[in-house]
Amino acid sequence: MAKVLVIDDSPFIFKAVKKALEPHGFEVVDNAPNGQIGLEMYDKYSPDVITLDVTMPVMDGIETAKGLFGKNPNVKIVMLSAMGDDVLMNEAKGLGIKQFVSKPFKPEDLLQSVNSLLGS
Amino acid sequence: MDKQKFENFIALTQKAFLAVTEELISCNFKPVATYSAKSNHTVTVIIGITGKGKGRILLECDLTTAEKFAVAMNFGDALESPNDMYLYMAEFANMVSGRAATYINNETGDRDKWLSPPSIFSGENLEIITPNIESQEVYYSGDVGLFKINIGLGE
Repeated sequence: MAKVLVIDDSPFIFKAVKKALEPHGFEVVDNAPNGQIGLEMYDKYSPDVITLDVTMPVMDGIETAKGLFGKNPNVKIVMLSAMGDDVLMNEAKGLGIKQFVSKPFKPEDLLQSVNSLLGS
Repeated sequence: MDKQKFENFIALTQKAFLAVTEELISCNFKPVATYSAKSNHTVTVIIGITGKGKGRILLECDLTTAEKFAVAMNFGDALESPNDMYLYMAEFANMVSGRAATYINNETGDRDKWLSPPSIFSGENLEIITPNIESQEVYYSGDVGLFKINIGLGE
């Protein structure tokens, strides 16, 4: 069962990700409310996929992505954000992020992005 | 404050509000001329705008509207805790502001607007004032109730 870690300061998004992915066999393991805790949870859970918000307290999504790629260059991240402008997307792509879903999201869009990252 | 930029910011925030509410809870909101909350006890969420031209977007509604909106966001399920309502409203405000900032940044081709995490206020007869920025209020009515959006932008 593939494990998914949610890094997002909104508990609503954690619930929405669970609703979208768990019926399809994913285990949504935990919710980190900021990037710093997200980096710690990455070590704890070794998730297969991470959903990552951009605007968060303490450490934003871009800095968190840099930290995650520093730990594992092959980490699989879906950027899940209310912000989705071209400048941000290009910066995220430059870091190695390949999947983007804008909030509010449709469950099938998130599922498709996660499956695409996992090659299934 | 550049009048044209300010008017564009207001128009794009309104566009973002309508798009997000439609996608999130399939609720058609219409602009209305006046705002009269059913209760004096309101919920207000403020999202700070940073970048070029600082400002903020303020969303306000009464408790009944906030609860209905939060339940709709929660896929129609009852909230696990009464406090969840505030967190859901904060995420809603974040989505609206994020969409507005995205529209603006894509127009300018620059990181013109960036967001700070939401601040949530709730109480009776709240009057929130941000000095030194030009602001304008718009009001929307939908199935779940009334919303006030106060859009402010400084130099």
